[in-house]
Amino acid sequence: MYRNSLRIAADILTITRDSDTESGGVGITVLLRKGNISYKSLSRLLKDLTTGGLIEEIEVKRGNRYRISSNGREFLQEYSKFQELAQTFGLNL
Amino acid sequence: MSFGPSLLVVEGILGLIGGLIGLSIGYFSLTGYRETGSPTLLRLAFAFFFLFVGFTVESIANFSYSGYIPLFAISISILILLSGFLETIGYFFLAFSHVIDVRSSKRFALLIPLIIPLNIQALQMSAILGSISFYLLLYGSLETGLSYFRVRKVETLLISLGLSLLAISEFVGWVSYLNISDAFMYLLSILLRVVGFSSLLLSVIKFVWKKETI
Repeated sequence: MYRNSLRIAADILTITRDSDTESGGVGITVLLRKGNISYKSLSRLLKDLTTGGLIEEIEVKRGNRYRISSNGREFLQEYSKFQELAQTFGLNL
Repeated sequence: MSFGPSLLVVEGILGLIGGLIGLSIGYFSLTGYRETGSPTLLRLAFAFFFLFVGFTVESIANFSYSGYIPLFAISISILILLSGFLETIGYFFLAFSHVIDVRSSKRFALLIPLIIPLNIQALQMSAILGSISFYLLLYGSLETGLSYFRVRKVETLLISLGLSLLAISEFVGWVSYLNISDAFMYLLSILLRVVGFSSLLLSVIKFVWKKETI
């Protein structure tokens, strides 16, 4: 199924939110596997999402982990609402 | 046109109602675009803002023709043409959203030969615009109807029904344009348009409520 960049970003945010345990964040391997996205695209997207304040980067001993911010949760809520609006017109966001 | 002033006033009022409905949907879509940055919502906002302005201009023309508001240095025929042009652009954006979404440009290309033969018969520009709007609406209605099988939402069916009613309204309006003494057909086209827009509004009205409760 075709996914545009907005949809991919929403998918990554959803995975970051749902796979996070005890705010320890999510590792890049989980994001790659569940997000079905290449490493290069994911790295670029994570950089954009971090800069935009939608996710937070946590530095740990072995690489970085990511957790969703309150802005990210708000964005997902709005995305879900307007995705429903678009679907009502038979469209996708 | 040979319609009485009272009929034109009714059309003006109904046009304003349709315009307000278009403005509401356009506003929700624009809010969605601001929140998510989705180009789909921007196209929807464009579509409904064009329709809002088109209907408003058409209503001004009708009120002016009835003598309720004065016109300065601009003729009613120009206003009618302008409104027809704006409405056609609005319907184009609605159909265009589906073309981009399903990437079915081949299906959209099928519309072109359908438009040309009908337009050869049409001598007036507003009738030409009306016939283009008819095909754009028909296409939008078909695509939305097909989307129902993917999303399974009753609201999607309502949108499809609304677009179908708008298409029929354009067709009836086009027929009444050819037979200008038929006031009933003319009024029917306006009523169908308002019912069609109400159907669109019904399917998105819950988003207003949701916005307030979140």
